[in-house]
Amino acid sequence: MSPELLQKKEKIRKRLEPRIKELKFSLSRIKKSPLSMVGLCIILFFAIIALLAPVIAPPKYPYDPYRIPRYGYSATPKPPSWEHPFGTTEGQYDIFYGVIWGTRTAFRIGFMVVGSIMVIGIILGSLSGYYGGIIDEVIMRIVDTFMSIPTLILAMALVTALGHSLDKVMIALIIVGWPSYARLIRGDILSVREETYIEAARATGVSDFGIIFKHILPNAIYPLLIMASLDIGAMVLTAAALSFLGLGAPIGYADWGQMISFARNWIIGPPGKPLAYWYTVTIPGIFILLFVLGWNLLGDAFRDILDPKLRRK
Amino acid sequence: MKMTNYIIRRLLLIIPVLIGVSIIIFIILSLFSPEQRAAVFVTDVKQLRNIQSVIKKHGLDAPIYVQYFRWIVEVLHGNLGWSKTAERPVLDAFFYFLPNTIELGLFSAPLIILIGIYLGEASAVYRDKPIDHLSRIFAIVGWSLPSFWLGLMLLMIFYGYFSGLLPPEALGVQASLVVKSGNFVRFTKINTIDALLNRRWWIFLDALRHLILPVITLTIIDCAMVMRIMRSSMLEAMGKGYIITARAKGADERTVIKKHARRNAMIPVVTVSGYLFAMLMSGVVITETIFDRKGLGWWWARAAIQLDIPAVLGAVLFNGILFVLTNLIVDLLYAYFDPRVRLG
Amino acid sequence: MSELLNVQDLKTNFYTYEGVVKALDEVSFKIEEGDTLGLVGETGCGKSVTSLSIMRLIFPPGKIESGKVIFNLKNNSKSRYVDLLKQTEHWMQMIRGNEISMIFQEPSSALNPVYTVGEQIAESFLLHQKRQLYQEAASKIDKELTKKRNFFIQRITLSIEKKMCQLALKEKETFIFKFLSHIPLLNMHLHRIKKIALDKSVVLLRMMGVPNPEGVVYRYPHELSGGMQQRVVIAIALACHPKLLIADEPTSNLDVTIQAQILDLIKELKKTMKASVLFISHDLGVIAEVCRWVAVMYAGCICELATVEELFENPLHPYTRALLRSIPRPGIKNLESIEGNVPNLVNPPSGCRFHPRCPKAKEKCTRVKPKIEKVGKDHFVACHFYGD
Repeated sequence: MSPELLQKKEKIRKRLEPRIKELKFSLSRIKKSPLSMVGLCIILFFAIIALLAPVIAPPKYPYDPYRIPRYGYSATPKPPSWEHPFGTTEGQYDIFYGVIWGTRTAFRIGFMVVGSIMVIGIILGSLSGYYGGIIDEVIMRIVDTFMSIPTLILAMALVTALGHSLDKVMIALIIVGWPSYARLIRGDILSVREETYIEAARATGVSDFGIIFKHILPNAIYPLLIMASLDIGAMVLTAAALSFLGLGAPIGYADWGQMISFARNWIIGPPGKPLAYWYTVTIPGIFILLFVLGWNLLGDAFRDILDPKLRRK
Repeated sequence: MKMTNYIIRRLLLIIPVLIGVSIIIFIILSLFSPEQRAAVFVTDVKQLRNIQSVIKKHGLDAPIYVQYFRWIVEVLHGNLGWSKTAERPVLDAFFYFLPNTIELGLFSAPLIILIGIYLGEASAVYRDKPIDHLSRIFAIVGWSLPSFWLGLMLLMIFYGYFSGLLPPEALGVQASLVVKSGNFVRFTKINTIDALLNRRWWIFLDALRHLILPVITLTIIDCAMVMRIMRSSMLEAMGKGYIITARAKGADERTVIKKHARRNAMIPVVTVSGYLFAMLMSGVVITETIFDRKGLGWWWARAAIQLDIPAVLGAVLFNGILFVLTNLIVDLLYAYFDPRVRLG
Repeated sequence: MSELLNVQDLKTNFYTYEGVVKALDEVSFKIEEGDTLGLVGETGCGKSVTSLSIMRLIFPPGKIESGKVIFNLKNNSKSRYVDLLKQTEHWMQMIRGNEISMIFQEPSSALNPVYTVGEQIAESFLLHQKRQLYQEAASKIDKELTKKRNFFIQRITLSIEKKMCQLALKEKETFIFKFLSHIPLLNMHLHRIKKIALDKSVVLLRMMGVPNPEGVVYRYPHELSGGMQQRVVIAIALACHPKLLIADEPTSNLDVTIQAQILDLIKELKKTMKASVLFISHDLGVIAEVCRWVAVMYAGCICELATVEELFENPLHPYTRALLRSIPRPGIKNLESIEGNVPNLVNPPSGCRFHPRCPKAKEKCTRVKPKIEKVGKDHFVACHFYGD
């Protein structure tokens, strides 16, 4: 390898060294906190299920794996059995299949929505915070307006306008979700903008984008990550609520919220056996609960670990 | 003097937000085609045949900004359209469904605040003791619960398994008959209060019985949030310098916590109560749907499914205004609790 | 002059994530009545921990392991010596703010931002002088009752107040008394004693040299300047005429001009209130101005203890000498710094804690920790090879 390349490698390694040390410290803290390990395990568990979905629950319709297979047309749900480990819902949709593929749906919703709002939020928040002036005013007024309407209600309105489907639900959640991230990044940028090391960077001729990327974002990224992991759970919950109300995934789609909406009519069984159809409600719900719990535990653990005041206790 | 200036300034800041909300609503409205919007104004099947005349009549083919101003004028006159799910004008529907929702909120909000503050404080003061661990588990599980699932499970257990112990809907059959009859005077249209005012204790108890499960469903999630915020702000307050001063003065532990730490710790909680209302409104949609309580949330959920556009947009407008007003009150409370804010 | 405070072999540890921090290692010193002792040392040497240990304000993960803190609860020339480390927490709460008080480094964070300055000073009176307050209240009520132009209602409310005050004076506050005090119309007596305490605060502020004390008393801490805030903190500490005042770097965060004012104030108050002062600072110059005695502290140990003149004229411990050499003075061209770094107190150096940085260190210094010994009339040193 040529000497210049070696030199470059050395430079990069030197620059990243303190960051790597901090990262290792963070990882060790994660390992020490029991709750965060629980969260991590839960997420890994779901990730494995999602990845292995075609193996665990082979799809009946190969081109549309999210369509839950039906085993009959009877309206009464059937209890768990060997063919249907979790039973069937009204209309004989297999619950086991539904919750397994529902894991994929949940990950899709979580990652796509949160990923998009992070990108949009960072871009708009950075523009707003760094340039200030009229751009800032306009963007902040839009942010204020969006944040003054509760998430679910605004999402409902958007879904009504755009149409009832899971994709439209995701779009609606993206539209509703980006303002908090924009505001967060803007706040960080505002507080850092006046710091002396930014002035120094500017004085040495670093471009605006360079400043944002190299100096501001690495510091601002941590609270953003915390918010993102908490939001994955929140977004999945809201999407499930919308599906439950009938505004999201269509009937027969592998989505946890949708499956619970099936169960609405069956929470009370025949007299003498009131809990007869418990599996229609309980099982999908537990999946949602654990999934969101895992992300919340992780987000909380991130918060405890990355908060500079609590780090060195 | 300072306070009045503060209030006036806050009131002025409301206006841009309200304008923004109206613009959002209007943008959503414009996503619908003129034919769909015309359907909103139709009350008679025959009119459907000549939809173009309906469009012309209500000016739905005029340029966007003209439509916007016309719409604003209508809104300011109280005409928000006709809700097909409620079978009455939107504004009337509000007042029809409002009492049930207020009743739910009336019993939930104090619980959320009191329990959240109490648990948060206990969790911080008795850190790492059993109550801390229990509260934190409660908080994190509560925050992760899908509220609709919780509601269904509660119904399954307490209505199904314990045959009818805590039923859905707002009132039992007998009680509703009495309430609808002429003998019952409706002062506020809120079941519990009216029952007390009419001195029918059993109706009051019946209404309470129907309230228990919805209130639990609604409270748990928000309670978890308040608890966590109170816990972290209490921990922060306990680490501050004035706590050492108070101890050095010879104050006992109870005074230190109650008088010095708590008052400071409440400040972030007050700030957050604005969002509490927003979450309450979202929660109400689900809770009323599950428990079949005919309140605002129940109406909005049906409206969204049945594409009842005026109702849905009315929901957005109502919530926007509510949020803005709540934030104003919250800001005032914040200035009361934190003297540092009162200047400038 | 009798002894007021006698600290003997005080040992305090902190059990942290990284290990056990041995913050104080057998710290000993004495303060006479009416005297002033300065405690000087670098940041992190344990000065604040010493003062907090004396007041028993050390909480987990910290723990006072061993030692004695003998305090003289003198009452009308009758001495009564008590070991503070052996008393109950409740007893200590009666002492804190009353017999021993503390003032802090950062006045803005030492004051509670949500209460007025007057309320915070009044709290000192309300905590420790309830009896006097109730007596004053009772006499005030009597005076008001004798006035002729009293309406019937006024007579009733005043009588209720008087009854409550008498109850409070007779014995300690019972449960019923406390319960009744929460009812609006029955708790006028509480308002009265609060008002009396507030009036006393005004008088106290005037003594602190605060202009317009009647107005200042209704201000919030953030509305006052740093110097004023510190005066309030001093007022809070001196409200109940403590015998011992511990001043933990009271001027380190203030401008130099304000610093001079506060130091003058402390000196004057020492005279008028006849209090002893334990003055903590990292600045030898400030200590020289206010104190008669000075103790030099390093890494949790007392190195040298002498009167200020003795120390400046004849420093014996190598650390003291190095400290004096590193103070900027006109005419001195080279400032000498001390080689090395302050030790990590989780694994402090064996033997004498200063030996790694000491120019005179010998083999004995690494093994045996030097004990503090009297080497002159007003001079104590803890070093094996002190002097030349």
